[in-house]
Amino acid sequence: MQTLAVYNIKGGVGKTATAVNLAYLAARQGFPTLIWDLDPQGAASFYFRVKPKVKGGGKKLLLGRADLDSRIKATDFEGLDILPADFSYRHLDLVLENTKEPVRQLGKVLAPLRDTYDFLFLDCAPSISLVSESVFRAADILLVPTIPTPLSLRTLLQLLKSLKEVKAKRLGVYPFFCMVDRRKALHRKTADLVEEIPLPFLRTEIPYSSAVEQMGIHRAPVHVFARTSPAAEAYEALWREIRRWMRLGKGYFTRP
Amino acid sequence: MLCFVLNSTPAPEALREAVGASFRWQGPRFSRDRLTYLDTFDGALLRRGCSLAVRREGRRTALILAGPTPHPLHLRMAASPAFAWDLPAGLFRQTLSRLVNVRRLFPQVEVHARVLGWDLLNPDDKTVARLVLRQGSARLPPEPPRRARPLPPLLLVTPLKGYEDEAADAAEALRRTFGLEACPRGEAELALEAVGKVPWPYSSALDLTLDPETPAHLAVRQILLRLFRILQANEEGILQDWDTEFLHDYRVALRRTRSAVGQLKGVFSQGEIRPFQGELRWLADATGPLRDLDVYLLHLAGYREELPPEADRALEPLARLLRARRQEAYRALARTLRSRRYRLFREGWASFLEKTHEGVGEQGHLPISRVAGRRIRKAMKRVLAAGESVSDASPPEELHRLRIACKKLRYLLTFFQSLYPGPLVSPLERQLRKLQDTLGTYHDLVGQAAALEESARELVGRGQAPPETLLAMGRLVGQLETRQVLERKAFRKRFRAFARHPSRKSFLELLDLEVEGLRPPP
Repeated sequence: MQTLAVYNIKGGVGKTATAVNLAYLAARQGFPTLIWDLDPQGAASFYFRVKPKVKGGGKKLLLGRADLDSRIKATDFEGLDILPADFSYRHLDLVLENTKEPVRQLGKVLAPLRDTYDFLFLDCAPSISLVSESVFRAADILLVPTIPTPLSLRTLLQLLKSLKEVKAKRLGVYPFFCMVDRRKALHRKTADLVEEIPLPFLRTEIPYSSAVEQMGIHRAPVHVFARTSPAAEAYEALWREIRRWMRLGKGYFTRP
Repeated sequence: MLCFVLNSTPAPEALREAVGASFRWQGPRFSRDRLTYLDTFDGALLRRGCSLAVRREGRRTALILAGPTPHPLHLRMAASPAFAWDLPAGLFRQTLSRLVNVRRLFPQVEVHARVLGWDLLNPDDKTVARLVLRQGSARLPPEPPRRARPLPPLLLVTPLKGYEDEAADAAEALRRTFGLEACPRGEAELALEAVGKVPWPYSSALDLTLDPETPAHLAVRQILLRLFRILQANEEGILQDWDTEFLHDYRVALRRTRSAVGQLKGVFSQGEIRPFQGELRWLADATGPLRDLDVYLLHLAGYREELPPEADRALEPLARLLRARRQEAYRALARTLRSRRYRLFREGWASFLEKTHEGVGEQGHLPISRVAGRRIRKAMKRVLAAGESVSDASPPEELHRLRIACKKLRYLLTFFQSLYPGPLVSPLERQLRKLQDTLGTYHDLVGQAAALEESARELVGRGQAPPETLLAMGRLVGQLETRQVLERKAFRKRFRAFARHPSRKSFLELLDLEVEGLRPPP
């Protein structure tokens, strides 16, 4: 099982749309896939029409006292399951703090899923905390959707810096531009800078798109209702590129 | 998934009414479905209540594996796979590999169906269960449509993970309304039944029930006849080179035959049996080289996966050499199996086994339980003595001798297990199998390391061995040697587990009583 965490310190950068659409594409290729909606806001659960509620709450789940498998729900799409959000996830930091090895706890909880899924997507809440550190340790790949503005790039550099301090062995960090509006000079300029940025950015950009916004109305991945939209095609290209980079072992690795 | 077999097709409205107003219905979707069910020669899937279906979807092929996991697995690929290793790495391949191993998948039956499907939604418009009505016909893959035989209409209720209660409610309502019983068999089995095909006609198991009082020569003939059927069943697969297991099963049946004939010498008259022993040895020699190369190539594929890509590429000349040698070995064996000598052996052996009065040796008229008991007792004592004498310094040949002694004992236990209480023999056989596996793996590792060294010399001789290839082969030899050490360590533990197993002592006591004619009644 490959664990891909979709993460950014900032909010509103397209994390959930990325996790939902990529997980859908992975499952559509026939890979059993799970998405864990770690964000207490529960947007991914909402997109899949699943109640943002986990029996016993996040505490039991994270302490390994609840059977993870019985909390998982099938989405309407073949091969794609979801572990829904729960409002109690806002206290996950406190739960982790009281464990013996807080940063390893998430990995331990996920271990039994290894034989059930080929891909696990973690849709993370925006913040930098003990939970995110735990995610860095548990994940193989960190996908970082980034809006092409100087401020977002600065946040990305902050993230890379903080990753150096985390013992996340061989975590591959894949930043990519998201919500790109080529009509905006700033977006154009920043996105075109990619060749000069000393960071391995994925080549695919996800355009700013009303189709992605409509995911909230259709409550489904973008491919289900706007298969030929530029956003749907961009997510497909992104998934192809991620798979290629994973196969080749390319990207920014915290411990090469 | 719950499967109901219907007598007639219900009206969609009746279904809807039966399930009630607890769900919102989406559908019906109408489609035509054309599935081919695949399975191995020995029915590895259906035998375990699983099924693998292939559906053409335009230029892609969809695979559905149902049974081994709580919910069916799906995969899309370019073409229908012949082996599990044709699938892309992932859970689907892993699950299928565990079931079918290295066996080829053959199309078993084709189903054409008209399908009506509904999604049952909860108040959030989330799908919680799927309802499918299939009305189809089945035919054997090469047959034309006019030969298709109708299948009863099937109603399938598929729960979605996490919403099992909702699906169970819907199924219960359907069951009550239409007076249905859930059918434990799936569509694949029903389709095979419709076309008059036995789901898994072949098994390499020696599941015979012997009467302890049967004269030994008749009981042994019964065993040998069953083994002969296994030999025959596998000939076509070897000649067509469908997969490596045909030869493997053939060789096991052949070894068991030789072991029975050799170990139970007194049962048949020596004059009659000796010519066959010669022919059986000839066959063992003729099938050996191809099997060795099969094992070698199968293991090489596994070892290559563990090497880094550059070392893996460097091993290509070795793989080419082995494939070429395998091709030669295959041709030689095919010639043997098509030869006049082989035909004569088959005819002669069949007619010998079917005789009931001729060729009986001095022990042939004793009850089989007496003969078997003596033999097993002797074989077991031999294993114990050989095992005790093995030390850490023993050469591989000594372990090989022990392995042969184990094999002989194991075959005897397999032949005659029905004569003894199951709870006594089964755990013993299990322990013995583990011990034998360890010895077998060790033997294979020693053999492969030696074969690698020999292949290296041959590649150098032919001028086909760049330094990278030799280095990669060296790495492989290193890997094999490390594993040898591990297997030798495991041997001690396994042998002790067998020798000290309580069933082993009780079984030997039972045999002692039997040989003295004092066996208590079962």
